[in-house]
Amino acid sequence: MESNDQNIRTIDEIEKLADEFNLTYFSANNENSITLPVPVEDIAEHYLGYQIDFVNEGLFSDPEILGGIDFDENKIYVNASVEDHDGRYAFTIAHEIGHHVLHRDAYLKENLEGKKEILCRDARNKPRIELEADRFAAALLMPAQSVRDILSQVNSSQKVKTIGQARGLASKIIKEGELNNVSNTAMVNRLIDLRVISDYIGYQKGINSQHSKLSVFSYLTYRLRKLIKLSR
Amino acid sequence: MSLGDKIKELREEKRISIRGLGRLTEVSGMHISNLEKNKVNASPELVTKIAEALDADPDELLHLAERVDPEVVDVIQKNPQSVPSFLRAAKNLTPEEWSQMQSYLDQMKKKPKAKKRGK
Repeated sequence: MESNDQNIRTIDEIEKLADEFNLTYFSANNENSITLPVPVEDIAEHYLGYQIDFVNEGLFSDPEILGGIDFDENKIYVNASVEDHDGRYAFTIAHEIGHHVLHRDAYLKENLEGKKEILCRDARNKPRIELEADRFAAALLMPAQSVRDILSQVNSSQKVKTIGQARGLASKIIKEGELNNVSNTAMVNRLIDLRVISDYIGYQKGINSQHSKLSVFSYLTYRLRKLIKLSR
Repeated sequence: MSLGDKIKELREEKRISIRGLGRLTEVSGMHISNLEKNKVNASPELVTKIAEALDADPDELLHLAERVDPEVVDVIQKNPQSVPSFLRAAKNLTPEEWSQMQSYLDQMKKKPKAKKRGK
C-alpha cells in the first residue's frame, strides 16, 4: 500500500475515527456509551469478522513481529509470544483493527492484481502507517474522554516529573478504570499523547517523532510489506 | 469431519476465541490453533476438557480424536477379564441391539442393590 500524502491522517482525525468506531460498536450492542475495557477481541472476531489466530513460524518466529493482518483472508495473526501478555495481546489486536479502519480500503484498491501481502506489526520499526495504527489502537483501548474521566476520579495532584511517577499514575488509572487489557507502558504513552504528562520524561516516541517522517514508501517496500508464506 | 474442524465449528458457534478456549482448558491458544489445523492430536484428557468447555458430546470428540475416554480405560483396567470378554461377545451386535443393551443396563442400575448384612 503506497502511503502518499493524501492518505496521511492527522492525530485528531485518527482520534475521532477511533471514538466513532467505538461508539458504533457499542451502539450495535445496544449500549449508549463506551464500556471499559473495550473488548477488542470481540470487535475483531464478531463485529468485523476476522479470525484471530496464533502463529510462531515463518516471519512470526521473530518475536518482535507481534501481529499481522491479512485483508484477503480476513485473518489477524498474533505472535504466540504475545499470548500471555494481556496488554500486548489486546494492543496488537487493536492495532490490527486500526489497519482495518485506516488502511484496508487503500490496500484493497491497490492490490487488485491479487498479490498477497500481510501488514505486519514490528516492535522495532514503525513507519507512518504503523504509528497511525498504534495511535488508533491507543485511542480505541483508552478513549481520551474515558481516561480524563478516570484521571479526575483518581484525583492525582502530584506533578509527574519522572518515569517512576508516570508509571505510578498509569497504574492508578488502570486500576480505577479496570482496564485489564491495557499495559502500564501503553497507558504512560497514552498520558503523554493526551498531554497529561510531558514527553520530556523520556519515554517511547509516538506518532510525532522524527522517525515517522522518513520516506514512507521506501520504508514500506523494504520492511513493512512482507510476503509471508504461512504454512497452513 | 476432523477433530480440528469440529472444535473450530463448536468454538465459533459458542463465540469463544482461540485464546479463550485455551484458557478454559488450561493450554495455550497456540495449542488450540494447532489442534484446529490438525497439526497435533489432543490427549483424551484435553479432548474431555474441550468437550466440557464447548458443551459438546465428549464421546463424539474422542471418536474424532481416535482416543478412548480415560473413564472407559479405567473400567477395562478394573475388570481386565470380564470387559474384554463382554466386548468380544458383543462385537456383532446391531445398533438396535446395542440400544436394547443400554436400556437393560439402565434398568439394572435403577434396581436397588441388596444391602449387605452385618455380622
